[in-house]
Amino acid sequence: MKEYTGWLFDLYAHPEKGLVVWLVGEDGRPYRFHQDFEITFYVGGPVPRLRELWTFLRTREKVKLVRTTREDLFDGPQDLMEVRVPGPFKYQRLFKQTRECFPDLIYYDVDIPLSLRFMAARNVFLMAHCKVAAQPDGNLIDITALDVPEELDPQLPQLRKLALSPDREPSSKTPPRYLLAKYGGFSVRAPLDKPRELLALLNGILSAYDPDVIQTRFGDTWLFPLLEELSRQTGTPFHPNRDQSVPVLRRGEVTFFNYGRAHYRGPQVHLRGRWHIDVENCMTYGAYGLLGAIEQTRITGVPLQEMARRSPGAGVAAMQSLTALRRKVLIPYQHQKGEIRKTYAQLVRADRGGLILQPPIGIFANVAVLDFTSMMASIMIEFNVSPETVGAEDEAAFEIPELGIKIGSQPGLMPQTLKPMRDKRLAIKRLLKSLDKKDPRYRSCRHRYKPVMDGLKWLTVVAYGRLGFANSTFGRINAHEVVSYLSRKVILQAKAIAEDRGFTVLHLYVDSLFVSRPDASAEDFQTLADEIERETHLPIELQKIYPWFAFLGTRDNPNISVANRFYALSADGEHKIRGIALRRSDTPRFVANTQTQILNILAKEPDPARLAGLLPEALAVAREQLSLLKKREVPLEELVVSQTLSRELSEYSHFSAVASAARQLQLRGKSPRMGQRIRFIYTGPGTAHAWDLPVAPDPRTVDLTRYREMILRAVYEVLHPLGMTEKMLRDWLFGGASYVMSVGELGSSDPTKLALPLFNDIKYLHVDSL
Amino acid sequence: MGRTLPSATQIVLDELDELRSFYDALRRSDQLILDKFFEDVLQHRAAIANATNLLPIEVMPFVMLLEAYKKNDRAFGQLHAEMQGLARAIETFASKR
Repeated sequence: MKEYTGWLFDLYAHPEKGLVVWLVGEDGRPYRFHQDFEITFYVGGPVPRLRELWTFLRTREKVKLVRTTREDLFDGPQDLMEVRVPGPFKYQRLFKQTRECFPDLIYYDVDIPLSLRFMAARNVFLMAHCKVAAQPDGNLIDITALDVPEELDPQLPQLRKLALSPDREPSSKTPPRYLLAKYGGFSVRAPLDKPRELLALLNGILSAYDPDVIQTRFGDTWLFPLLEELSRQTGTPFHPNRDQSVPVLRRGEVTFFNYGRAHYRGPQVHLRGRWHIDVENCMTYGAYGLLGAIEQTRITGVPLQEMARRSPGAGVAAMQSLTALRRKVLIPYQHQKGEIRKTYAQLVRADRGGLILQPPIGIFANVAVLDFTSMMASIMIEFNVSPETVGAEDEAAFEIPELGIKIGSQPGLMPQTLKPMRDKRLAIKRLLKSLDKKDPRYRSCRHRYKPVMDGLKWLTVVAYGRLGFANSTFGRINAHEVVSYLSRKVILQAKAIAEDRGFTVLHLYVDSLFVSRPDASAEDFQTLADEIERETHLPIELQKIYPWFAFLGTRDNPNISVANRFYALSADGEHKIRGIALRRSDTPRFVANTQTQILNILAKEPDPARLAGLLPEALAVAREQLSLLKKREVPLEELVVSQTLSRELSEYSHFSAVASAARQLQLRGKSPRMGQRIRFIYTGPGTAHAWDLPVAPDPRTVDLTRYREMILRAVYEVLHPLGMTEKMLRDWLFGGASYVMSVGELGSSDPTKLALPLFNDIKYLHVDSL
Repeated sequence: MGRTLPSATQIVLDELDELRSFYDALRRSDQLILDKFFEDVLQHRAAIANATNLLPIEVMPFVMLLEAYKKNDRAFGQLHAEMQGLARAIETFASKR
């Protein structure tokens, strides 16, 4: 027997070896182990049917059957049949047959990922620093974790990375010509039209450098399918797995709706013994990168190649299952708990989300943003909200009379699952905040911890949604409603505390308060945050103090505000911007750049009363950009609009610009799917030219009027809280009007308007002062 | 997930839509005033939706009163400041004489 130490890197079912486990050793070398791993599931139902199942399974090879009692999260102890199957491969076949023959029985613990079963059985976790004892043939005897997932600063291996990307996007007008490979300080450009040389190069890198991680752009949808095809055509073997005894794992493409938006996930290529991450085919990976994904894997138990591509919801579901396995609670198969009955009045009170107020429109001085940290997760933890505790009737239950519901006192599955993660995120957040930004260690700490914090943030955010998600194994809409209800109560409590301390609460947005007081110092805002935390028992952070904050109105009516359209600019560049053109993914780069340039001008002025003095500079930028557009000097790439196809192309009755562009691609043999982003250029009213067609659009056909309007709207969007009207801006930019204007023209001169009448402070706007 | 009940904005817009026949029968000058009231109502839509024990139409007049009060208060404040300024100017003028 030999011992190894390293990190639990990968594990999967093997047709002959049972379970294969990969360790990245402390010496940097990969080690492969295997183990016979029994899979257990449970079946409930009428006794005669269970007896029939017993007879059916008894004939199957090496299956062990035991009568047992297990705990159902909602219904308490259940008499069940325990079925133990030797090996994951046999289990998949056997369960399929069982389910087909006995569809009427109730199944538990059947669709649990193998990694979770292993982690629960061996008390380890993926990417754990661990010690392995194994026989010389690789048979794993024992594995012990040397750290815990909650470790604030875990020791991680130095992974060898190979980055592969085409020299241009595969969907672009001219197909890629080279594959760029970066590894271990080397950079290679391999021509794609020499397949033998290309495959020889990649095989050489894989065997000599032996990367742990292959990070690609378009690896799932283009590169690996292409390499496989080239390998077939040339007869040159190519096997990107580290484990050559099993094939590459492939998953099909999917389209789905999430929060009302169509999403598309392309086909996937998963490797065995090493990771493949296609950054173009991931949902949230871009927000936190490899470090954040490793953190998510450590916390959730979902293998990294899965976790990087899937939504964080899958991670939360896995965490719930892992907690259930460790608590020896049954995990139901396609079985949900129904809604607890409520009256119509209770429905009206309960069926609502977090509280969002409408802020006043205008610019406000000295505004601080206070954020409850992981508010929904913290509420679940603090109030023990979990699908099984909501509606419980024990004596110590906490009652919410408005909703006619009680929350039980027995520790809930959800709080137990979330607490370690929430605590870790909070600790990292507070650690980063405690460091002085001028401290040379700040950058390295931020670089180290920010991805971890962001990876955890996504998990805590979706945990709340999962409570009310219809397909969630442990979901229950009542629990979701209770969390929403408590969040509204808590934020209103925080508002009252702030107002008692003389602050003006400008805005509330679910878990954030925007407060101002002209004379308040940083200490005053921090004291307020501390008091709110003390009173509500939920962690809250003073996010930042801005010298001024602009809240914007709707496009149709500038007197009606929008909750999530605002900007606050800070001299250090850490702006807070939501809902304006430059944040929207469908805004062309040229328009976004124009808006950014104007915001950069405004950011120079900390005194809101003097902002209007910067208008001439801002307008000069807008004029310059319009002039470039008029002279057709803007590169076409900067005018590209990117929009999501919200339904399948065949379902469009009216062809909008995006649908028209998608149709052009379809005629060229491409197959745009719902959820995919389509890039195009506006070429006329209701018409567009798909950017990914082989032929570039004629620059003379670009719809200048449309882009001119987009520039105008983008400029107006950021200037209107200063008192600018659209007519005034239009006159100034397109009509050649001067700054001379009667006071009556100014929206902000209306004494009933809440916005600061900033224009009153600049002389050249007043006819009478000239 | 999806909710059974309409959003705060939808609740208020539906209520305003209910007033359409009343609105249409008003003179243009009155409609413009009502438009201002509706703006005020929309500015408080979250608070209206938060009052789940009341019908939105019951809360909407309070919102209009609230905003009217604020506007009056602001106008009185400005008038008062103007009057004080005038009084000071008269005092200065009188003292110079």
